[in-house]
Amino acid sequence: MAGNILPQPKAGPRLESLPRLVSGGWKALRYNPIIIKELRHRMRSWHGLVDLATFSLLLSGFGLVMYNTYQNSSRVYNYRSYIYNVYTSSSAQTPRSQELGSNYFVAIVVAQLFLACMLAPSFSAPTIAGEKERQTYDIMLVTLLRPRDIIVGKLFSSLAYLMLVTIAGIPVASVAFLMGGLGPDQLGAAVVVILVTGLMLGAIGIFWSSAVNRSVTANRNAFINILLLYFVVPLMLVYGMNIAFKAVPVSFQFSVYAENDLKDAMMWVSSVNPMYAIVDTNEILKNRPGSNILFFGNTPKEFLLTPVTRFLLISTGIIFIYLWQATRHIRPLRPETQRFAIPARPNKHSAQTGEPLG
Amino acid sequence: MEPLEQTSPSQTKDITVQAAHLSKSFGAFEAVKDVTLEIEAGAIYGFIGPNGAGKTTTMRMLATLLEPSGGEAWICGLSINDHRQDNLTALRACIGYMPDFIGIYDKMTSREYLEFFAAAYFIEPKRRGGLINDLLELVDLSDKKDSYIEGLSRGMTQRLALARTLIHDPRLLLLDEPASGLDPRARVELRELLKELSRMGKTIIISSHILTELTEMCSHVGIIERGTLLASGKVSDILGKLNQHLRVVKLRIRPIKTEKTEILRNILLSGPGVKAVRPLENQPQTDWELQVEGNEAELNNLLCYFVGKNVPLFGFSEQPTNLEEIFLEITGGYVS
Repeated sequence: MAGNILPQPKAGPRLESLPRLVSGGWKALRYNPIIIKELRHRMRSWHGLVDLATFSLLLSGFGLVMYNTYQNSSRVYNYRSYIYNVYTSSSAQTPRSQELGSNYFVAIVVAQLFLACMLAPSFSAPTIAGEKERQTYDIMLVTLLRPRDIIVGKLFSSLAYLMLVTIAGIPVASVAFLMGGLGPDQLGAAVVVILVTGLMLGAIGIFWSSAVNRSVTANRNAFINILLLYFVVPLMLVYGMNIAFKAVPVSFQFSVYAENDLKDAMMWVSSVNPMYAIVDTNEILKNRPGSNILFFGNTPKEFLLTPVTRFLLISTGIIFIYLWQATRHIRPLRPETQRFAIPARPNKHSAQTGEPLG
Repeated sequence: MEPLEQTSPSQTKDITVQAAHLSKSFGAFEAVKDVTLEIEAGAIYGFIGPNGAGKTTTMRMLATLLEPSGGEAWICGLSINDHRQDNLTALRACIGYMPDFIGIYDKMTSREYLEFFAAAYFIEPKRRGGLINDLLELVDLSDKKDSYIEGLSRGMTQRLALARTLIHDPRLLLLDEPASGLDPRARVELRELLKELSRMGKTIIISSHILTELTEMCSHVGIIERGTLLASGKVSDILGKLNQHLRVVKLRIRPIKTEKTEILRNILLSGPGVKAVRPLENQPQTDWELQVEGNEAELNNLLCYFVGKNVPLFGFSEQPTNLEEIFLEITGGYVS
């Protein structure tokens, strides 16, 4: 091996060294050359700061509009008449300010999710395809970086900015604390859901970026993929289940799904969508005593997973599948070919035998 | 045509690159067919062929960027078909690859560019600064250390790319058309740089379809045409095989009287192994060119013969090989 190279870390750390694994993972991110390069590139100009300020201002403006809309609404916030609350037998009414706080919070979180849906794929989809367009892809591949280093570097560098935007939006969402109707766990869960959504959509963007050669194509495919995966397919599945298994008219009253196995299955399908997960979990927390952000009870089936928990579980699977496939795409020489026998290495000095070569 | 590579026995020390029946197909199209070659350590190997001949495909296979459809190759004793991560890591540590198009990152200085690749090759952080300075000095870009890459000229970018290729001190350099798009001055600078690297012990494979740029540089040559390696080996070996050992020798003599020109011509023609004699047009009184059959020992005999015949000789040199002629002869003048 050439003289400049450091000894490589051994693969396959054991579970008993979990703290070391975590610290190793952090170091791998901290010193990943791709993350450093991309962040330096993104934050070098004023654009990063200006964009962040613009997003924060827009979010604040949106929050103000929503607050005024709810404040001036003459509607009586009776949750028994509210579509999400039909399953509960409780007659309790939430005080108006709490309703206001809860609705304001959900509106802000949905706005941030929408932002994540727009930003995450558009940041991640051009990353690897952009390398191909700039023709820097090959020289990156022949370095000692492993495919997963490249994928992780590209993913985290493209999402770092989204994380910044999400964190900058926390104060705007926290205004809901002043009105009540919101617990810190809800705020924490909302931030986690936004970040996981960003990670998931970023993984889809990275997947398409690794699969195609042009940024525009990667962007287009990523958005079509997201639209199908999070909106079209769940809606069609839920609609199909309603038609197939229910005699009653079609219903999209999401929170009632958990009452039987069919509805539970429909809740799983719907939980693919982060906006549904946040909205419905918020409704469950408001209306089902004893529920928390991860589980809910007080139904014939006790201790079911909330839509947020289901969303996190599903997302983990989706993120893993897309990143795994992306890693396979950017590996020019695939390990599958190991199925074939590896020929014996020739003696480097075979030419010294004096036997004519060629 | 007789396989010329058989005539280039490499009875040398160390083999850096060895390929056996390497081939690559894209669907029904065979880009590279049954390429077998050996390249000694420290050689500058010119990979010659017209556009689309299979040079880049072969180099990409050697650089582990493309999986061969058949055959095998070893670089520094490591198989390119062994895709285990530790083997690939060791293999890539041995290779410095420079593609035909130099992709650059915008909003990045030369130093940051090299720093990125130093980190990508896991070079110890405390060594990076000194190493980058040394490399920039080697490629004569020290004063452009903090300049943005997009502001560099084509020649400077090419040299920066070469510095990037050298950052992990590879034993083998795969340079795909490194001189394309360079002006004459930049070509000369690049050539000198490659010679310097060869003196440093690097094995260099350099591809080009511009033969003149390789003429003065290459110790070995491989000629590829429509995916088939027609010849591979030392330049002199290939030339000898092609010309049936005919060498071109240039003589420089003291000016003589015009009436003695014919006598001189007869003496030169009577030399052992001399097949043809002609005065050069620009200096007919002093400069002559001979076509001589024979090896180095026979050339030595010829020189002794001329000295014995009192030829007023003060220059006797074998003309450098003309790769263009070799190429045209081997490929039969065909250019795809």
